[in-house]
Amino acid sequence: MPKTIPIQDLQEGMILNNPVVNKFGQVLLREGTELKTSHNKVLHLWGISFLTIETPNETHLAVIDENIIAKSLELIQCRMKWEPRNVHEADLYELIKKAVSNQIISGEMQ
Amino acid sequence: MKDVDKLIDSIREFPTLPTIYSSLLDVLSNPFSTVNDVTNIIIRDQSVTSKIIKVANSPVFGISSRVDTISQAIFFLGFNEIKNIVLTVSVMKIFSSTKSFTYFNFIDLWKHSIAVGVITRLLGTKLGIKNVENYFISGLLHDLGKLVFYKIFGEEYAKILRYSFDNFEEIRDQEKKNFGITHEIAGEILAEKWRFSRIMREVIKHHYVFRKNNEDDVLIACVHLANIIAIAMNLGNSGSNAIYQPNYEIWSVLNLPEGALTAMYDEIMDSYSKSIDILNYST
Repeated sequence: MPKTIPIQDLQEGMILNNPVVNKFGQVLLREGTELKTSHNKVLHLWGISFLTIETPNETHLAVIDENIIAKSLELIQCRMKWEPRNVHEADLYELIKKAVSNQIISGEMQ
Repeated sequence: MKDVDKLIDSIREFPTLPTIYSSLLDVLSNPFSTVNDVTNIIIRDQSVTSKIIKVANSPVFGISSRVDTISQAIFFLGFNEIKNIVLTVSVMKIFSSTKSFTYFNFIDLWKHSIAVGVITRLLGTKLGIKNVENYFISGLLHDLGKLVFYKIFGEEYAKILRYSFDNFEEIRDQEKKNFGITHEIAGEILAEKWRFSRIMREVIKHHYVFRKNNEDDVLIACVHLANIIAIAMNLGNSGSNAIYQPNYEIWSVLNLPEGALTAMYDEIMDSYSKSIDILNYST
Protein backbone atom coordinates (compact mmCIF):
# COMPACT_ATOMS: atom_id res chain seq x y z
CA MET A 1 0.00 0.00 0.00
CA PRO A 2 1.40 3.44 -0.83
CA LYS A 3 2.11 5.57 2.22
CA THR A 4 2.90 9.26 2.44
CA ILE A 5 5.75 10.05 4.82
CA PRO A 6 7.63 13.21 5.84
CA ILE A 7 11.16 13.27 4.37
CA GLN A 8 12.74 13.02 7.82
CA ASP A 9 11.24 9.49 8.04
CA LEU A 10 13.00 8.44 4.81
CA GLN A 11 14.98 5.23 5.20
CA GLU A 12 17.56 3.56 3.02
CA GLY A 13 15.94 1.11 0.59
CA MET A 14 12.44 2.60 0.53
CA ILE A 15 10.85 2.60 -2.93
CA LEU A 16 9.12 5.68 -4.33
CA ASN A 17 5.51 4.98 -5.24
CA ASN A 18 4.98 8.33 -6.97
CA PRO A 19 7.53 10.48 -8.79
CA VAL A 20 8.84 13.45 -6.84
CA VAL A 21 8.05 16.61 -8.79
CA ASN A 22 8.81 20.25 -8.10
CA LYS A 23 6.22 23.02 -8.24
CA PHE A 24 6.89 23.42 -11.99
CA GLY A 25 5.96 19.80 -12.61
CA GLN A 26 9.54 18.71 -13.36
CA VAL A 27 10.30 15.15 -12.28
CA LEU A 28 13.11 15.17 -9.72
CA LEU A 29 13.02 11.45 -8.86
CA ARG A 30 11.23 8.79 -10.83
CA GLU A 31 8.60 6.39 -9.49
CA GLY A 32 10.30 3.15 -8.42
CA THR A 33 13.52 4.90 -7.33
CA GLU A 34 15.22 3.16 -4.44
CA LEU A 35 15.89 5.84 -1.84
CA LYS A 36 19.18 6.41 -0.06
CA THR A 37 19.68 8.41 3.14
CA SER A 38 21.62 10.96 1.10
CA HIS A 39 18.35 11.80 -0.71
CA ASN A 40 17.06 13.38 2.49
CA LYS A 41 19.40 16.39 2.20
CA VAL A 42 18.73 16.88 -1.52
CA LEU A 43 14.96 16.62 -1.09
CA HIS A 44 15.17 19.17 1.68
CA LEU A 45 17.08 21.54 -0.62
CA TRP A 46 14.43 21.05 -3.31
CA GLY A 47 11.75 22.08 -0.79
CA ILE A 48 10.06 18.65 -0.78
CA SER A 49 8.40 17.82 2.56
CA PHE A 50 6.61 14.54 1.83
CA LEU A 51 7.10 11.41 -0.28
CA THR A 52 4.81 8.56 -1.20
CA ILE A 53 6.52 5.23 -0.80
CA GLU A 54 5.61 1.57 -1.24
CA THR A 55 5.00 -0.38 1.93
CA PRO A 56 5.40 -4.16 2.14
CA ASN A 57 1.87 -4.86 3.42
CA GLU A 58 -0.32 -5.56 0.43
CA THR A 59 -3.74 -4.43 1.57
CA HIS A 60 -6.92 -3.28 -0.10
CA LEU A 61 -5.45 -0.33 -1.96
CA ALA A 62 -2.71 -2.48 -3.43
CA VAL A 63 -5.22 -4.23 -5.66
CA ILE A 64 -6.69 -0.99 -6.93
CA ASP A 65 -5.36 -0.43 -10.39
CA GLU A 66 -3.21 2.57 -11.23
CA ASN A 67 -5.94 4.27 -13.27
CA ILE A 68 -8.17 4.38 -10.23
CA ILE A 69 -5.43 5.80 -8.04
CA ALA A 70 -4.67 8.42 -10.70
CA LYS A 71 -8.37 9.29 -10.98
CA SER A 72 -8.75 9.56 -7.22
CA LEU A 73 -5.69 11.82 -6.97
CA GLU A 74 -7.14 14.01 -9.69
CA LEU A 75 -10.48 14.27 -7.84
CA ILE A 76 -8.75 15.05 -4.55
CA GLN A 77 -6.55 17.72 -6.13
CA CYS A 78 -9.64 19.68 -7.22
CA ARG A 79 -10.92 19.73 -3.65
CA MET A 80 -7.78 19.91 -1.57
CA LYS A 81 -5.52 22.93 -2.04
CA TRP A 82 -2.97 22.17 0.66
CA GLU A 83 0.00 19.96 1.36
CA PRO A 84 0.33 17.78 4.47
CA ARG A 85 2.48 19.52 7.11
CA ASN A 86 3.04 16.57 9.43
CA VAL A 87 2.54 12.80 9.75
CA HIS A 88 -1.07 13.22 10.89
CA GLU A 89 -2.00 15.26 7.84
CA ALA A 90 -0.19 12.72 5.67
CA ASP A 91 -2.29 10.06 7.41
CA LEU A 92 -5.45 12.10 6.75
CA TYR A 93 -4.44 12.34 3.10
CA GLU A 94 -4.07 8.54 2.93
CA LEU A 95 -7.53 8.11 4.46
CA ILE A 96 -9.03 10.48 1.88
CA LYS A 97 -7.27 8.62 -0.97
CA LYS A 98 -8.58 5.29 0.32
CA ALA A 99 -12.14 6.60 0.60
CA VAL A 100 -12.17 8.23 -2.83
CA SER A 101 -10.58 5.18 -4.53
CA ASN A 102 -13.16 2.88 -2.98
CA GLN A 103 -15.97 5.19 -4.06
CA ILE A 104 -14.67 5.12 -7.64
CA ILE A 105 -14.56 1.31 -7.53
CA SER A 106 -18.08 1.04 -6.13
CA GLY A 107 -19.34 3.40 -8.84
CA GLU A 108 -20.38 6.15 -6.42
CA MET A 109 -18.00 8.54 -8.17
CA GLN A 110 -17.18 8.92 -11.82
CA MET B 1 -27.88 41.54 2.62
CA LYS B 2 -30.62 40.65 5.08
CA ASP B 3 -31.34 42.69 8.19
CA VAL B 4 -29.19 40.87 10.76
CA ASP B 5 -31.29 42.00 13.74
CA LYS B 6 -34.45 40.66 12.11
CA LEU B 7 -32.70 37.37 11.38
CA ILE B 8 -31.53 37.04 14.98
CA ASP B 9 -35.09 37.78 16.15
CA SER B 10 -36.49 35.07 13.90
CA ILE B 11 -33.96 32.56 15.28
CA ARG B 12 -35.00 33.54 18.81
CA GLU B 13 -38.64 32.96 17.79
CA PHE B 14 -37.88 29.36 16.78
CA PRO B 15 -40.19 26.79 18.38
CA THR B 16 -39.10 25.67 21.82
CA LEU B 17 -37.94 22.07 22.23
CA PRO B 18 -40.69 19.65 23.30
CA THR B 19 -41.67 19.83 27.01
CA ILE B 20 -40.18 16.37 27.58
CA TYR B 21 -36.68 17.82 27.10
CA SER B 22 -37.09 20.81 29.43
CA SER B 23 -38.76 18.58 32.07
CA LEU B 24 -35.83 16.20 31.76
CA LEU B 25 -33.31 19.03 32.22
CA ASP B 26 -35.17 20.12 35.36
CA VAL B 27 -35.23 16.61 36.82
CA LEU B 28 -31.56 15.98 35.99
CA SER B 29 -30.51 19.25 37.64
CA ASN B 30 -31.68 17.67 40.90
CA PRO B 31 -28.88 15.38 42.16
CA PHE B 32 -31.41 13.26 44.06
CA SER B 33 -33.42 12.30 40.95
CA THR B 34 -33.93 8.58 40.45
CA VAL B 35 -34.27 6.30 37.42
CA ASN B 36 -38.02 6.28 38.07
CA ASP B 37 -38.23 10.09 37.98
CA VAL B 38 -36.55 10.17 34.57
CA THR B 39 -38.51 7.18 33.23
CA ASN B 40 -41.83 8.71 34.29
CA ILE B 41 -41.15 11.87 32.31
CA ILE B 42 -40.20 9.99 29.15
CA ILE B 43 -42.98 7.38 29.11
CA ARG B 44 -45.65 10.08 29.20
CA ASP B 45 -45.09 10.34 25.45
CA GLN B 46 -45.33 6.87 23.89
CA SER B 47 -44.19 7.85 20.39
CA VAL B 48 -41.07 9.54 21.81
CA THR B 49 -40.45 6.53 24.08
CA SER B 50 -40.33 4.09 21.16
CA LYS B 51 -38.04 6.40 19.16
CA ILE B 52 -35.67 6.76 22.12
CA ILE B 53 -35.45 2.98 22.51
CA LYS B 54 -34.71 2.57 18.79
CA VAL B 55 -32.01 5.25 18.85
CA ALA B 56 -30.54 3.79 22.07
CA ASN B 57 -30.18 0.45 20.27
CA SER B 58 -28.33 2.12 17.41
CA PRO B 59 -24.69 0.89 17.22
CA VAL B 60 -23.43 4.40 17.74
CA PHE B 61 -24.08 4.10 21.48
CA GLY B 62 -22.31 0.75 21.68
CA ILE B 63 -24.78 -1.19 23.89
CA SER B 64 -23.83 -4.86 23.68
CA SER B 65 -27.32 -6.26 24.39
CA ARG B 66 -30.68 -5.04 23.13
CA VAL B 67 -32.71 -2.71 25.36
CA ASP B 68 -36.52 -2.74 25.34
CA THR B 69 -37.42 -0.28 28.07
CA ILE B 70 -36.40 3.23 29.11
CA SER B 71 -35.12 2.01 32.49
CA GLN B 72 -32.87 -0.56 30.73
CA ALA B 73 -31.59 2.18 28.41
CA ILE B 74 -30.83 4.37 31.46
CA PHE B 75 -29.06 1.42 33.11
CA PHE B 76 -26.75 0.90 30.12
CA LEU B 77 -26.27 4.47 28.99
CA GLY B 78 -26.76 6.68 32.04
CA PHE B 79 -28.83 9.84 32.51
CA ASN B 80 -26.66 12.11 30.41
CA GLU B 81 -26.70 9.91 27.29
CA ILE B 82 -30.49 9.44 27.62
CA LYS B 83 -30.82 13.22 27.80
CA ASN B 84 -28.69 13.41 24.62
CA ILE B 85 -30.95 10.90 22.84
CA VAL B 86 -34.06 12.86 23.88
CA LEU B 87 -32.36 15.98 22.53
CA THR B 88 -31.50 14.20 19.24
CA VAL B 89 -35.09 13.04 18.77
CA SER B 90 -36.48 16.46 19.76
CA VAL B 91 -34.25 18.47 17.42
CA MET B 92 -34.89 16.09 14.51
CA LYS B 93 -38.62 16.42 15.12
CA ILE B 94 -38.49 20.22 14.93
CA PHE B 95 -36.72 20.09 11.58
CA SER B 96 -38.70 17.11 10.25
CA SER B 97 -41.11 19.24 8.22
CA THR B 98 -38.29 21.11 6.45
CA LYS B 99 -38.74 20.86 2.68
CA SER B 100 -35.97 19.75 0.33
CA PHE B 101 -35.28 21.60 -2.89
CA THR B 102 -33.84 20.38 -6.17
CA TYR B 103 -30.68 22.41 -5.52
CA PHE B 104 -29.90 20.65 -2.26
CA ASN B 105 -31.42 17.75 -0.37
CA PHE B 106 -32.04 18.63 3.28
CA ILE B 107 -31.58 14.97 4.31
CA ASP B 108 -27.99 15.14 3.01
CA LEU B 109 -27.26 17.77 5.67
CA TRP B 110 -28.50 15.34 8.33
CA LYS B 111 -26.43 12.51 6.82
CA HIS B 112 -23.34 14.71 7.06
CA SER B 113 -24.23 15.51 10.68
CA ILE B 114 -24.62 11.83 11.57
CA ALA B 115 -21.25 11.10 9.94
CA VAL B 116 -19.59 13.85 11.98
CA GLY B 117 -21.26 12.48 15.14
CA VAL B 118 -20.06 8.94 14.43
CA ILE B 119 -16.49 10.01 13.55
CA THR B 120 -16.26 12.35 16.56
CA ARG B 121 -17.18 9.47 18.86
CA LEU B 122 -14.76 7.07 17.13
CA LEU B 123 -11.96 9.63 17.51
CA GLY B 124 -12.81 10.02 21.20
CA THR B 125 -12.65 6.25 21.66
CA LYS B 126 -9.38 6.05 19.71
CA LEU B 127 -7.90 8.68 22.02
CA GLY B 128 -8.87 6.62 25.04
CA ILE B 129 -11.33 9.22 26.37
CA LYS B 130 -13.15 7.46 29.21
CA ASN B 131 -16.38 9.37 28.90
CA VAL B 132 -17.39 9.84 25.26
CA GLU B 133 -21.03 10.55 26.18
CA ASN B 134 -21.15 13.99 24.61
CA TYR B 135 -19.11 13.09 21.54
CA PHE B 136 -21.83 11.79 19.23
CA ILE B 137 -24.38 14.54 20.00
CA SER B 138 -21.74 17.27 19.68
CA GLY B 139 -20.80 16.07 16.22
CA LEU B 140 -24.42 15.53 15.27
CA LEU B 141 -25.49 19.06 16.13
CA HIS B 142 -22.33 20.99 15.18
CA ASP B 143 -24.07 22.41 12.09
CA LEU B 144 -27.28 23.40 13.89
CA GLY B 145 -26.96 26.84 12.29
CA LYS B 146 -27.18 25.35 8.78
CA LEU B 147 -30.43 23.61 9.74
CA VAL B 148 -31.66 26.97 11.04
CA PHE B 149 -30.76 28.80 7.81
CA TYR B 150 -32.37 26.04 5.73
CA LYS B 151 -35.58 26.23 7.77
CA ILE B 152 -35.74 30.06 7.61
CA PHE B 153 -34.55 30.73 4.06
CA GLY B 154 -35.55 27.46 2.33
CA GLU B 155 -34.76 27.51 -1.37
CA GLU B 156 -32.52 30.59 -1.07
CA TYR B 157 -30.20 28.72 1.32
CA ALA B 158 -30.44 25.52 -0.74
CA LYS B 159 -29.11 27.52 -3.72
CA ILE B 160 -26.26 28.92 -1.60
CA LEU B 161 -25.29 25.43 -0.43
CA ARG B 162 -25.32 24.19 -4.01
CA TYR B 163 -23.35 27.18 -5.26
CA SER B 164 -20.66 26.72 -2.59
CA PHE B 165 -20.47 23.00 -3.30
CA ASP B 166 -20.20 23.37 -7.08
CA ASN B 167 -17.64 26.16 -6.89
CA PHE B 168 -15.49 24.79 -4.04
CA GLU B 169 -16.22 27.96 -2.09
CA GLU B 170 -16.49 28.44 1.63
CA ILE B 171 -20.12 28.33 2.69
CA ARG B 172 -19.35 30.74 5.53
CA ASP B 173 -18.35 33.49 3.07
CA GLN B 174 -21.65 33.10 1.24
CA GLU B 175 -23.59 33.10 4.51
CA LYS B 176 -21.88 36.29 5.67
CA LYS B 177 -22.49 37.95 2.31
CA ASN B 178 -26.15 36.99 2.12
CA PHE B 179 -27.31 36.87 5.73
CA GLY B 180 -24.73 38.94 7.65
CA ILE B 181 -23.83 36.08 10.01
CA THR B 182 -22.39 32.58 9.63
CA HIS B 183 -24.09 29.32 10.56
CA GLU B 184 -21.88 29.05 13.66
CA ILE B 185 -23.41 32.25 15.06
CA ALA B 186 -26.95 31.25 14.03
CA GLY B 187 -26.47 27.87 15.69
CA GLU B 188 -25.10 29.43 18.85
CA ILE B 189 -28.13 31.73 19.17
CA LEU B 190 -30.54 28.80 18.93
CA ALA B 191 -28.40 26.62 21.21
CA GLU B 192 -28.64 29.31 23.86
CA LYS B 193 -32.41 29.54 23.49
CA TRP B 194 -32.68 25.76 23.72
CA ARG B 195 -30.53 25.64 26.89
CA PHE B 196 -27.82 23.47 25.33
CA SER B 197 -24.91 22.66 27.65
CA ARG B 198 -21.98 25.09 27.61
CA ILE B 199 -19.72 22.52 25.93
CA MET B 200 -22.17 22.00 23.06
CA ARG B 201 -22.50 25.73 22.54
CA GLU B 202 -18.70 25.93 22.34
CA VAL B 203 -18.62 23.13 19.74
CA ILE B 204 -21.28 24.85 17.62
CA LYS B 205 -19.41 28.15 17.82
CA HIS B 206 -15.83 26.93 17.31
CA HIS B 207 -16.01 23.68 15.30
CA TYR B 208 -14.83 25.37 12.11
CA VAL B 209 -12.34 27.95 13.34
CA PHE B 210 -10.72 25.97 16.12
CA ARG B 211 -9.30 28.12 18.90
CA LYS B 212 -7.43 26.70 21.87
CA ASN B 213 -9.51 27.28 24.95
CA ASN B 214 -8.22 24.47 27.21
CA GLU B 215 -11.31 23.03 28.90
CA ASP B 216 -13.15 21.61 25.89
CA ASP B 217 -10.24 21.49 23.43
CA VAL B 218 -10.21 17.73 22.82
CA LEU B 219 -13.92 17.49 22.00
CA ILE B 220 -13.89 20.59 19.77
CA ALA B 221 -10.73 19.35 18.02
CA CYS B 222 -12.42 15.96 17.41
CA VAL B 223 -15.48 17.66 15.85
CA HIS B 224 -13.20 19.93 13.78
CA LEU B 225 -11.33 16.92 12.39
CA ALA B 226 -14.45 14.73 12.04
CA ASN B 227 -16.08 17.46 9.96
CA ILE B 228 -13.14 17.47 7.54
CA ILE B 229 -13.12 13.66 7.34
CA ALA B 230 -16.89 13.49 6.66
CA ILE B 231 -16.56 16.12 3.91
CA ALA B 232 -13.53 14.39 2.38
CA MET B 233 -15.18 10.94 2.47
CA ASN B 234 -18.40 12.34 0.91
CA LEU B 235 -20.56 11.09 3.76
CA GLY B 236 -23.71 13.16 3.35
CA ASN B 237 -23.32 16.72 2.13
CA SER B 238 -22.59 19.80 4.20
CA GLY B 239 -22.53 22.20 1.26
CA SER B 240 -18.72 22.11 1.33
CA ASN B 241 -16.88 20.34 -1.42
CA ALA B 242 -13.47 21.83 -0.68
CA ILE B 243 -11.49 19.78 1.83
CA TYR B 244 -10.07 22.40 4.13
CA GLN B 245 -6.80 22.03 6.02
CA PRO B 246 -7.14 21.23 9.72
CA ASN B 247 -6.12 23.90 12.19
CA TYR B 248 -2.52 22.98 13.04
CA GLU B 249 -3.13 23.26 16.79
CA ILE B 250 -5.52 20.27 16.83
CA TRP B 251 -2.65 17.83 16.29
CA SER B 252 -0.94 18.73 19.57
CA VAL B 253 -4.32 18.70 21.35
CA LEU B 254 -5.29 15.27 19.99
CA ASN B 255 -1.87 13.61 19.98
CA LEU B 256 -3.19 10.79 17.77
CA PRO B 257 -1.08 7.68 17.26
CA GLU B 258 0.62 7.63 13.86
CA GLY B 259 -1.55 5.96 11.21
CA ALA B 260 -4.66 6.12 13.40
CA LEU B 261 -6.78 7.88 10.78
CA THR B 262 -6.17 5.45 7.90
CA ALA B 263 -6.78 2.59 10.32
CA MET B 264 -10.23 4.04 11.11
CA TYR B 265 -11.55 3.72 7.55
CA ASP B 266 -13.49 0.45 7.96
CA GLU B 267 -14.88 1.46 11.36
CA ILE B 268 -16.09 4.80 9.98
CA MET B 269 -17.84 3.18 7.02
CA ASP B 270 -19.38 0.47 9.19
CA SER B 271 -20.62 2.78 11.97
CA TYR B 272 -21.92 5.35 9.49
CA SER B 273 -23.92 2.83 7.46
CA LYS B 274 -25.42 1.36 10.63
CA SER B 275 -26.20 4.72 12.23
CA ILE B 276 -27.89 6.34 9.26
CA ASP B 277 -31.10 4.59 10.36
CA ILE B 278 -31.40 7.18 13.13
CA LEU B 279 -32.97 9.38 10.45
CA ASN B 280 -35.84 6.92 10.09
CA TYR B 281 -36.45 6.67 13.82
CA SER B 282 -36.34 10.33 14.57
CA THR B 283 -38.16 12.17 11.83
